[in-house]
Amino acid sequence: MERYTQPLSDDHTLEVYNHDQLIFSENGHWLTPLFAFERFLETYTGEKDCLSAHDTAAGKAAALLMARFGVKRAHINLISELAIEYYRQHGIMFSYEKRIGRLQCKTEELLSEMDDQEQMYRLLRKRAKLVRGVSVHVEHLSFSYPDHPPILDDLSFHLEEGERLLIQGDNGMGKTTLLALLMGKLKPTTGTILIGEEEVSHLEKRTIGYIKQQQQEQQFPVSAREVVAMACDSSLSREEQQWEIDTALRRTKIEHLAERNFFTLSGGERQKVSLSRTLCQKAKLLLLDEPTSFLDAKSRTTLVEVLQSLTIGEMPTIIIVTHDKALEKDLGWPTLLLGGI
Amino acid sequence: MNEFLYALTLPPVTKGLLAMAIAGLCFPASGVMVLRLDLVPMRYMLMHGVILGGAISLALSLPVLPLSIALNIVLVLAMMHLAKDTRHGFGLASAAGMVFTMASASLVMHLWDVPAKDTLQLLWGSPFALSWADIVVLSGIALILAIYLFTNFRTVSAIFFDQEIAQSLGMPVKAHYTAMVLVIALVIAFAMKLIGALLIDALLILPVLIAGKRAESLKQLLLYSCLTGLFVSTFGFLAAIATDLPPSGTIALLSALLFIIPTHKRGLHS
Repeated sequence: MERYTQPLSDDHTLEVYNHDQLIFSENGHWLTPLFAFERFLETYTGEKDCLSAHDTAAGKAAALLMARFGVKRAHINLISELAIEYYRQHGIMFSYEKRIGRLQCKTEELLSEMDDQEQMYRLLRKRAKLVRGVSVHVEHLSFSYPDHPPILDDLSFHLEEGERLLIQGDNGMGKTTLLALLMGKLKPTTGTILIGEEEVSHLEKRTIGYIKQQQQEQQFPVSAREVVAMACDSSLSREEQQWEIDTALRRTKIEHLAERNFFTLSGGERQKVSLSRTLCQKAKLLLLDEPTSFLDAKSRTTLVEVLQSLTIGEMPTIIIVTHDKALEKDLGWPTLLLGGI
Repeated sequence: MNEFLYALTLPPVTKGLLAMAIAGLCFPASGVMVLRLDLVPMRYMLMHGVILGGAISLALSLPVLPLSIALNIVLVLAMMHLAKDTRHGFGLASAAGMVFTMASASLVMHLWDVPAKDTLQLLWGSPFALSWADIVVLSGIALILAIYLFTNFRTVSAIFFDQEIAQSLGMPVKAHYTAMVLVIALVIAFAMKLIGALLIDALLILPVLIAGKRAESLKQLLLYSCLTGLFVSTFGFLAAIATDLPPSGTIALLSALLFIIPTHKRGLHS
C-alpha cells in the first residue's frame, strides 16, 4: 500500500507526497489546503517529480488544481463524477473510498459547464479571494482641458476585482487623459472615479502600478534590479525586500538581466522589468500606456504572454490603453472603444 | 622632490589638498543630480549667483562663502517659485535668474566701486585661501549630501528614473526635488570658492560623464563618479603643486583628458 493512500494522520485534510516522502500537509477546508500547497510550491526547492496527493474530498475544482500543480497520483476519500472525468482527461492516476455524482457546493455547480482551464482557475481564485485587483467604477466621466472641447464625454465603465480591460482609440481620443484621471493627476470636469470603493485622492500609496509608454532616446545607468527595487515596500526588512525583488524578477523570467542597465535592454525586456516593478509593488491596479509601442514581434509576443500569466496568477485589475488594434485579438480581453473607431 | 614634499607640509597646501579630496569624493554625487534632473541651466545661474555674492561681499566687506551660499538658496527658492508661473519651467526661469544675477552684480560693482578684477577672482577659485572654518563647512556639505543620498536612495533613484513613476509610487517628488536643488546650491557655492566658476564642471559634471561610460547601475554611477572625482581632484592638485601650475586648471585638464579617452560604451546622455 503506497503511503499516500494510507489514512490521513492527525487532523490533516490534505497530504502531498513526493514518492513516499511527505512534503506538505494542511488541515483547512474547501480548496484552502490546495491553494496553500500552491504557495508552498512557490518556495519549495526539493524534488517534485512524482507528486501524490491524499485529499478528503475532491470535485472538479480540486481535480483541476491538482492537475495544475503537477500532481500525478491522487487518493480521495469522497470523489465526484466530475472529478473522476477530469482526472481521466488529464491522465492523473486516482483511487477513492466513496464515489458520488456531484459535490453539493456552489463551486462544483459553477464549474460543471465550464471547459476553459484558465477561466476555471481564475474563477476559483476569485472565489478563494486570492485576487490582488481592486474594482474600478467610472461613472459619467467627462473631462476637458481649458478652452478646449471635451476630450472625454460621459464615459462609464465598471471592472470587478482582477478584471481586464483594453481601451482602444486613435490618437487624441483621450486614452492617456483617461489614465491621468485614473491616477489622480487630473481631476474630472464631471463624474466620479472610484477605485476599490475609494476616491483616487484617498487611495493607499502604491495601489496603482503605472507602466509608461516607452521612450527610446534615454541613456542613464540604472540597473533592472534598481528599477524593480524602487517599488518595493520600504517597511520590509532588507532580507524580505531582497526576496520580493528576486521573486518579482523571477516571475517575469529576467533574473539574468538584473544587473544590466535598463536603458540598454530591448523594448520587450524593458517591459518585463516594468512589469516586475509593478509585481514588486504588489499593485492592485495596473495601468499600461501603449505597452506595445516600439516592440518588435518577438518582444510583443513575450509581453502578451507575461500579461496573460499575470491575469491568471496575481490577478491585478489591468487597464491597457492602446491604438494597437491587433492587441485585442492577441489578449482576447474585453475592449472599450474611445471616440467610436 | 624635497621641495614638493616641503610644499605639502605648508598649511595652505595641506588644507587645499584636504578640501580637494573631500570635494572630489562627494561633489560628483551632486553632478549626478544636476545631469539627471536636467539642471544644467540652473547650475549656470548659481555660478552667476556666486559672482553676485562675491560683489556684494566685497562691497559690504562681508565673508564671501556664507553670503554666496545664502544668496544661492534664495535664488533657488525664487526660481522654483518662478518656474511654476512660466510654461517653460525651470530652463526659462534659470535663464531669467542668470540675467538678473549678472545684471545685479554689475550694478553692485558700479555703485560700490568694487574692482571687477577682485570679483572675477571667483572665476578661478582659490584652494590655497581656505580656512579651517571653510573645511568644516565643506565637510558639513559633503556629509549632508552623503546622508541624503544614503537615506533616500530608493526615492532618488525613482525620481532619476522617471518622476511620473516616482509619483505613482506615492513618493514626495516635489519635496525631494526641492531638497536636491538646495543641496546643489550649497555644493556649487563651495565649489566656486574651491575651483572657480569656469572650471566647476571638472569637479561636478565631468567625473559623472566619465563614470557614465562604465556604469550599469545608479549605485555604480555614484561610486565611479565619486572615485573619479577623488582621483582627479587629489592627483590634479598634487600635480599642480609638483609642476607649479594653477590647481584648478590642472584638475580641469585632467578631467577633460579622462573624459576624451574613448571607451566602448555610450555616454550618459542621449
